[in-house]
Amino acid sequence: MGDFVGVDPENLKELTKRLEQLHELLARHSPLIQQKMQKWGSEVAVTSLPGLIAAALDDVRDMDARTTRAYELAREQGWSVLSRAPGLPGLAFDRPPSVRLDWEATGQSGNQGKRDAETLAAALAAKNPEEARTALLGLPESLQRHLADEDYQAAFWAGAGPLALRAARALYERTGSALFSAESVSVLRALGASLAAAGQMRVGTGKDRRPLLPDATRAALAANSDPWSVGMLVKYGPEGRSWDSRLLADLTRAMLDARAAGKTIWPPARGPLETDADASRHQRLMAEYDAVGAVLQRAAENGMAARHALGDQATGLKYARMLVSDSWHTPGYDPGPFLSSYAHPGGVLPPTGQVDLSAPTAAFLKAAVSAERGTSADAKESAWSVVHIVQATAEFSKLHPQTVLPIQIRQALTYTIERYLPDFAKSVGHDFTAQPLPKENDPANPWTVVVRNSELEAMLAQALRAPEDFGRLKGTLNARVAVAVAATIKDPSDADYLSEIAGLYGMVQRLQNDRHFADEQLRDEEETRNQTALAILAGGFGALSFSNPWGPGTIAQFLTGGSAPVVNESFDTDHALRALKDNADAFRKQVLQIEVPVVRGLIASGALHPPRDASWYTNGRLTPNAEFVEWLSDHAETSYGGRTLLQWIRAAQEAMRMQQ
Amino acid sequence: MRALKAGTVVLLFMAFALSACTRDEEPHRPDDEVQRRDQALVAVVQCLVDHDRIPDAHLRDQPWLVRDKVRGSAELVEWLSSHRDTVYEGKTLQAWEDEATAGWPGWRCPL
Repeated sequence: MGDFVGVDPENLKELTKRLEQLHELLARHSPLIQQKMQKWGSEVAVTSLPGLIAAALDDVRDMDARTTRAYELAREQGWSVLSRAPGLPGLAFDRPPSVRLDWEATGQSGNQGKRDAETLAAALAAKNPEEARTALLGLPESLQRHLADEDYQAAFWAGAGPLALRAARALYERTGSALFSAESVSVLRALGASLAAAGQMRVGTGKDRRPLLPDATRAALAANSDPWSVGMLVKYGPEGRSWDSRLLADLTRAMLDARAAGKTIWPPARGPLETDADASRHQRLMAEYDAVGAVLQRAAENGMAARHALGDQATGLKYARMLVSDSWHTPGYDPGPFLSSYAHPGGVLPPTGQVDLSAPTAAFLKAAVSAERGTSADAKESAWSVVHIVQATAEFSKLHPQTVLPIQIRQALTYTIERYLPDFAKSVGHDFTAQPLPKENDPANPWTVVVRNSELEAMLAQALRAPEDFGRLKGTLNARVAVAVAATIKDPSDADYLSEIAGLYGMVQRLQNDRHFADEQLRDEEETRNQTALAILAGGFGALSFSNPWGPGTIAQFLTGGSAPVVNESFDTDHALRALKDNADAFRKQVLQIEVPVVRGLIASGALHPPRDASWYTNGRLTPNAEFVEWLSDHAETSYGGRTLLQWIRAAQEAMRMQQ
Repeated sequence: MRALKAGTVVLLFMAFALSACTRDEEPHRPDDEVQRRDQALVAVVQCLVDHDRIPDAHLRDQPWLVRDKVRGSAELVEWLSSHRDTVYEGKTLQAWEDEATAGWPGWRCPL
């Protein structure tokens, strides 16, 4: 403090600019510089270069703050950019006078943050988008430059706080086709990026460690008096992984609560909607600037944020109920006022023009169940999310027995089923309250779930509608036989994974029988089932190896097992399998569906070593052919992992019982 | 009085007919069996625990067993899953459960 020096603002500005260019140049070429220096065997320590470059950026920020302050002081002394020069008509650019400023104090970027906050507050308070836009021209660049600057961030959010969260409402255009001008978008982008960066910062140490974002800002985010505006900061802000997962989870809860409470979550209507086209356009605008969807999307990208929200033991179910619903669309409008009085004599008609918005909801549900299987807290939250989603789906089906959920949400349910297939298989037959638990109730093991039989059935009934849906899940179960066989051998406990798959297979089959599909549809079902099994078995599934002893790692591998591969057409490139696909149906049914996964499972567990010269097994891949069939019949009575080959095949056939 | 009695009989009959009717109309509902299976599982494990037929190692740190009392829960299902093929008293646990479910609610511990 007190280190006052005289400066020329114009020169200071030039110095700042050159410093900035120097920093940019160094930052851009730093990898090359390091590479070259190392190549030449330089003795100069280049490892400190990144640190020096970061320090250079700090210098740029400090100098920038001083420049801003110098111009302010000049203005306080009566200087103005444009002045009337004596004797000349019109205006001329005027050079600012020299000023004295406190070099140390003004060099701290906190000052810059404070001033930027004041600028923002003044601009937004004016409530005139035109004025605000002009006043905020320089803000995005300043925010961007200070993204990683804690002093600046703390000062900016302490000053701008709750007001900044409402920027979108102050900036939107009252007319025209776009809701935001390019300048406004860049302000929202910068504010979003700044909020995301500040949300990840912590200050203090030890017990005193706390978020950098001031309490008032955090409270305003949670209270959410203007959810639409907050949603726009998130929409224009960075990708989900650049946000703090807790902050995004809090935001998600706040948005969903606001939506449930009927708060304004849609963009403001601009003027009266006079024609049907106006009303329809407004629905599309609502979809484009959907605040809740924006937050759900970012939380889904983040992954952990979705799991914090749905995996909370106390509140997760409440939010799962909101998400598993058929309400994910714009509200639509009453077409009555736009119809002639002849066609429509009066009264309210059912809403029309609704735009589907279920994509971010579905992405969020998928993310909530997508933690890597294992013993982590993240895996536990994922397991709780599964419990809550299954329960919410069952409740929805009970309350609305006739309603089918939107396709994207049903796909998220199928995804959940495939990802937790062994867990659901184990759950069939019992109806105790659902809960996550470590495998074998041993805290050292990965997290699994046990759900209620009745709720699982309701979830399957929602997820599986078309014959192809059934075929796909049954194909996945077929392919899963390989893992079940391997795990039954490797697991030293007396688990019987084949019989568990059998239970789930039976449940799926019963549901399918209740639907009474026509013969033609059943052929579609069978085709999809074969293709799915084929795709999974011909895909990366052969890489599965249970060479390690049964333990947390192997268990996690077993739980993940057959869920990863997604049906695609890539298997068509495998000529052998293509030939097989073109083969007689009977051959495929017999050999492919059961024998191949069983033998794969036996190989994966280490119980069976294929003959060295086998033409059907090369480079870890099993390609069934005539020789394979011959080998099978020669070894039917050979014992592998405690059962004969025939017994394994019988058990697997039982699991997949072809009860059409 | 007689008429009243007759009326009651008719009403009762109608109620029966109605309940029978609704039951018939329901599609395949395995819920009943699931409920019986839940109760049968608890009874079977309690029977084996009471007669000391499950080695201590199998029961160590099991959250569903509190002071030798079996509590029906997801944790019990998890335990069942890893002992489905374990033989207790000459039968696999799964066979015990299936038998008790088939005989429920008349099943009694045979030990």
